[in-house]
Amino acid sequence: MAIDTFIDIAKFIFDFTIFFVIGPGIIILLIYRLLLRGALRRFFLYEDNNSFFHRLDPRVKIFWTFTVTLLASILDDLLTLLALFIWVVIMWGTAKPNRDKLATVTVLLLPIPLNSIFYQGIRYGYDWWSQTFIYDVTPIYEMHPALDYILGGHILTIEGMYYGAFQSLRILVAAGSGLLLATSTAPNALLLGLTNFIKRRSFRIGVPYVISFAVVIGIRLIPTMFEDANIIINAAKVRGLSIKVPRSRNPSELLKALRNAIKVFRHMTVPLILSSLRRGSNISIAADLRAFRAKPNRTYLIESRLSVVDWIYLLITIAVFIFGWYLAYIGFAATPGIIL
Amino acid sequence: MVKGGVSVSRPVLEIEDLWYKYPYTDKWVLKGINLRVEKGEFIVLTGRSGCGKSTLALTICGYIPHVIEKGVLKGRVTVDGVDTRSKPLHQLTQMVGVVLQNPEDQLFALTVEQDVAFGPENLAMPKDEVRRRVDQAMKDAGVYEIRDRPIFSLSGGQKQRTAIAGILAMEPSIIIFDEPTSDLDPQGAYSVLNVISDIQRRRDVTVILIEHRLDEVSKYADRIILMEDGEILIDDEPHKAYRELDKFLDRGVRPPQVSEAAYKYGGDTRIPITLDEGVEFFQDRVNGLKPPSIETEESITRGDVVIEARDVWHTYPNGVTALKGVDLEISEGEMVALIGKNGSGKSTLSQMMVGLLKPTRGIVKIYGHDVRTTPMEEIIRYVGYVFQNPDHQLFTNTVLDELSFGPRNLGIDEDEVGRRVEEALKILGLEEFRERHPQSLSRGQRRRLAVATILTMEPKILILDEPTTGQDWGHSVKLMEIARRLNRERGVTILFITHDMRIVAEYADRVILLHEGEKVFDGSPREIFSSRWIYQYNILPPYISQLSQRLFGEENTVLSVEEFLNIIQRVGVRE
Repeated sequence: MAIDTFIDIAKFIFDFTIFFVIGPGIIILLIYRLLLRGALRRFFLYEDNNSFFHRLDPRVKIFWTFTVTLLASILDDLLTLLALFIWVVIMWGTAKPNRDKLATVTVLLLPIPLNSIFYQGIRYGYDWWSQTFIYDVTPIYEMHPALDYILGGHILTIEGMYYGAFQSLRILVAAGSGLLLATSTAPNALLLGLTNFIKRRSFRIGVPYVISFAVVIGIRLIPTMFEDANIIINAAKVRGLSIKVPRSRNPSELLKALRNAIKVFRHMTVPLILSSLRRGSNISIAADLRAFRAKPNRTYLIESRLSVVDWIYLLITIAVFIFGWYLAYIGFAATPGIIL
Repeated sequence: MVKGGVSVSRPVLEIEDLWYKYPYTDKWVLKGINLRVEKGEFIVLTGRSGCGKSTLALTICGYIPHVIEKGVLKGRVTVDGVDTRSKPLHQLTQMVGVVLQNPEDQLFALTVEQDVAFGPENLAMPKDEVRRRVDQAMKDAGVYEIRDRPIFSLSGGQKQRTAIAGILAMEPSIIIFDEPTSDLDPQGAYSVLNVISDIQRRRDVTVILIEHRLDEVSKYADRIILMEDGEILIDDEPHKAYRELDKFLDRGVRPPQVSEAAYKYGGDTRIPITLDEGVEFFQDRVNGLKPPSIETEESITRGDVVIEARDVWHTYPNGVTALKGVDLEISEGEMVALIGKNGSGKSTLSQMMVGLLKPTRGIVKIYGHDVRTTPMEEIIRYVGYVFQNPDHQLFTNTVLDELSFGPRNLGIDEDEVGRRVEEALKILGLEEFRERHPQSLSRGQRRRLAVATILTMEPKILILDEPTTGQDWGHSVKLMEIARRLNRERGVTILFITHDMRIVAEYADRVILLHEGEKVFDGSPREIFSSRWIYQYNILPPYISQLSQRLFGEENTVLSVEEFLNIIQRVGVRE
């Protein structure tokens, strides 16, 4: 009896540690390391790279991202989803990402399938209240039952994992194509593409200019805000405000650190808000003095024209879009619940 | 262009009895301004902070009253014969352009070319016209070569020139530059001033330059206007304007050193403003006379070494190496200037001295404490650090709270905190503001408050990061005098970072020059300013030092106007 209890507790500790501490821990650690190396910050910095995907017109890229994301959500067939995923991977390949970028995108995307496979693996077809499966499933690993209360299931099944992998493909296609678009298109080109998605003389379909203007200002000011925040923290530090995390486990020390952190935050907000307000007011003066919003239809100096390659790629994407839509329409692979 | 004559043509700008009061205030900021400016004139507008210069600029360009609507405006502003009240702002933007102080606040796109195009695009001009204007503006402002560069990758000077190009593309007949070089290092400031004078000549536009640094800009000016408390005190051609040089000095404005020397020497009808004119002015009087050798100051007896740096390297996480093996010793009671262009490692080195950064290689010791192993709470008992922008370092609701913040964090008892607060208030002349909200003070007062907040911690070493940047001369001198008093009377070791060579010459005992992370000079101000090689680091000695060198040779380099006048007197002047 004592041995059984011991084994039981040991199993609980083992399962808990593996699935609840080490698993998520590794992912958090990887992301943290990326953050530490500044790779995550660099990831979103546009780098000029004369690759096939970089050269495509932003509007074509936006339409492509829209197409694969939409098809991934309305189609419900493993092969079609795989095909879309491979298309995204190939496009990543044509963008010639460096090792840093590749590592970052992997770490960013990897938690999606892992998470999905694990949780669908234990929850697929599982009725928590009766603790039974409503589908026929093949269990491959049974965790300690107590984990049921934490994880919402405790038996990993092949069917569930398969289903999880399948579902995660949808998110991978959407996130993968979105990240590719964001990192391989200069922000200004992307915004210009969004603003003038379709433009012919004074006819224009796209995001209102005021919105893309605000986004550009945001992009421009975020680094400055970070710099300001950094100086403010330093200014607080040199006046004796400690913001170090204490090594000691003493609760009173931890409480003190927490109080301090709140203090730092409180003190930071005033100068940060004030400097942003001052800056904002200067920006609005400068914008007004350059005739911002003077005319309803402004001119755009740079209006990109689609090249032959752009047209070919666009036509291929449109063809796939129509074909995918048709497949869903005839019910070949429509995601249940999608009404067309 | 009309110089010194009476014009019969219509002026490009005419201001008649202009009064202005901001919304919800009782104070007139402009009091009966009258001004007439001809096409192609170059006007330098100066005066202490808060004298109404920037408000005047905003009324000329029509921002007042078109955007700031609720203030009280009396009188009339006419640009090209048009009353600014009668035209919408976007039409006025094509008549008057304004370049602001901080380039960061006036760039709206992500690349140079797109930013320059912003104005003409907003005006919905035909694309060919936008292209023509943008190309021409970029060429005139010297940014054509970098037209595809993203804004964030530009230096301060390049950003400001991009902002200038953006205004040029609007093709206004008047351009107002509101302290366009205040936030730039000397190299950036030099390039911007060059572009401004170039544009004025090439495009025949009217330039109104608001500036404190008259040394650099007087030579471009057709007229200098001195403002005080909303009124125009002096409006004259520079050689004549400086005949009333005392008025400039009394208003905290620093006239060119050459002019100051000539004026104090015993003014002429025509006061020199450039170096060449200064040489000419004094040469006739001292020609052939040998100057007595300058009595160099007795070397100050140095105390114990309090800051020690041995082979210090610092590489930031992004891979940029900011310091490359710097060796340094600073002794108790020294007053040291740290100079070098932006990115030379000045801030990195000074932040190490307060423990904000740690050397990646080498040792920095403060009073014998290694900054790598000593907690920062310990280091800040010795070292106080005042950042450049006061607004980044004021957090609390009253001046008193602000001052007691530091010592309380250090665990000082309340009686002592009270004593220190009172003392700091007195030293920095802030007694009357004790209950005020720090953010309600003027910028100069906020700057002094920022220094006071550090003084209450009674540091033995005080580091000032660009204490005079963006301040008028009066405020700069006030602050530097306080630093000097702390140094002379209390033995506080002072290290200040600056781009202002006049401040270096007049206040530093010792100068350290950093270049690309290496220490390339460490010696007295006289030594550095009498060297020829400093030009290769884009450092220009103060004009008065240059004047003395031209007259008496490099071995007789003076550091201040007073010193120069002293020599002249001892030379015995030929009348």
